Amino acid sequence: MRTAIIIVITFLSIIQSIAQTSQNKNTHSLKLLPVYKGEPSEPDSTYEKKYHIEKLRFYLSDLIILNEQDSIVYTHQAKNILIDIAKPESLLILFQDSLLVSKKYKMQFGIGVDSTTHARGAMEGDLDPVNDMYWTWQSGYINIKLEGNITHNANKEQFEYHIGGYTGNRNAYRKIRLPYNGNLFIHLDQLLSQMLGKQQHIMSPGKDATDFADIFARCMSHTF
Amino acid sequence: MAYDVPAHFPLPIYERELAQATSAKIDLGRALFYDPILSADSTISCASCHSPYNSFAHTDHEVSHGIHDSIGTRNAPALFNLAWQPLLMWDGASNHLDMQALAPITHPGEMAESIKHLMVKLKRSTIYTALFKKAYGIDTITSQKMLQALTQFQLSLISDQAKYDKVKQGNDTFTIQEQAGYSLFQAKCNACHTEPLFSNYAFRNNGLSPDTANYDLGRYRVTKQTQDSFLFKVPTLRNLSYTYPYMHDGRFRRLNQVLNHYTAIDNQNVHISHELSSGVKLTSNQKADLIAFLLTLNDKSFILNQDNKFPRSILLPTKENQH
Repeated sequence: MRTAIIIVITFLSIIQSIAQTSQNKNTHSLKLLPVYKGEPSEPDSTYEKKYHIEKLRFYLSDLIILNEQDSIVYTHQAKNILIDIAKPESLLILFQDSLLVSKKYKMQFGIGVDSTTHARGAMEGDLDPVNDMYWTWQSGYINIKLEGNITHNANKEQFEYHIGGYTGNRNAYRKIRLPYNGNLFIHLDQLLSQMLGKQQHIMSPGKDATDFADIFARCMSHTF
Repeated sequence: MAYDVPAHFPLPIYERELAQATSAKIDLGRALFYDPILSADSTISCASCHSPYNSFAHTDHEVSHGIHDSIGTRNAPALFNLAWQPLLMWDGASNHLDMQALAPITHPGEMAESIKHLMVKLKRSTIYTALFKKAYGIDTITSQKMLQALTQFQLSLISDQAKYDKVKQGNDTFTIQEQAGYSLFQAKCNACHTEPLFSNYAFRNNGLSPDTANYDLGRYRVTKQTQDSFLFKVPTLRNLSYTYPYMHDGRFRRLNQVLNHYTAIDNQNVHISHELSSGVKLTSNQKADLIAFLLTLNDKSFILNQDNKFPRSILLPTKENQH
């Protein structure tokens, strides 16, 4: 009888472990979801018949997944990823290793390019200056580029944000830590409502740029 | 290809890049430097404003002119000993030699070309396809390798054979006048124009009145800090005979004028850098001695070095074969 129980328990634990493996040890990903008032945002969309986003590109960098004890369980290989809402393929970051995740896991990443990378000279891939995310009149990556216009009656008013800066209090790189569930929502409505009407052109490093970087970081969440 | 740093020089900042130098990388960078393909209409090369005969500055031009005769705002700095420079440009806007080239290439008044389009042009060229392959073993030309090759050529521009260097190495001696000038230099100039590179590469206000043409704010443009207004990078004093006119806006054509500026400095000017706060006093004889010393910083072998000049055999291979 005792042997039978041990066999059953062993059998059940094997089944459970198989189930768990197939359920959780998967190839995970991070899906970026630009939303406007909770609705998925399509590239080149106009919101509320007046806000038109022509371009939103930014660097998502140094992505890691942390467990309950804040130990790193996953480090994404690509250090700097150029996200472009006009390119749906850039909105899905597939992890290169499969891993077991729990609901208590967190993700951490940076928005922009850190100051160490800034000092390394010419880079390739997503950091290649051909991507138009590098200033040429002075050294520095553009961490976030947001461009568009607002329609007022028949008139169009431009907004243009080129956010960067990597030294001292002008450093616009922002580190974000959120619970990890595979999703990263970018709340465009919150971003536009906090920027438009206040400051519509930011084209160089400084206080306006770091304020924008703070707001942009707060417009990201793992839920709606 | 290793470069032997002279004993009287400090270690270069670009030590790693210098260690990675090969003649194929330098040849590629040299070809790019002299090739007007870098500009939108193929009229302007780096050498248009940085001539080897002028120690890679632009003699006789207060400020330089770019595409369609656009007039620039600053005097083209001489290019040599860049391996020791922490920040590039008069205002330090460039943090790395690789990235510096992006500024003149894309500036609408200089070369007015986009990096993207430049890559298309280079990829079409059989000469460059072969040069990149030889230098970096790559079949597809990238902007990274283009910028790194330009860096390799510019880092190879080392001026360390002036009379001053020979004296330091024990192979020559100063004349009495040069020695007197050297003593004056050490007492009055060396705080900013620190030997042996003859610059501390810091940003300073040397008492110049703002230029009336551009009202150039210098370092402020980069840092947006009011205390950085009208600060410009301290230029090296090597090769002065080949690099006139002087100052960021090229306002002085002769060394005499420069020295007269320093002796006439208004030390009540609160913005002037602290090294000059008590003024510079020099008699006419002392000025002559100081100039005699400054001329020992001319490196004629650097100006004459054929390895730094237009690479005819690389850029014009067919013509070369005909000769």
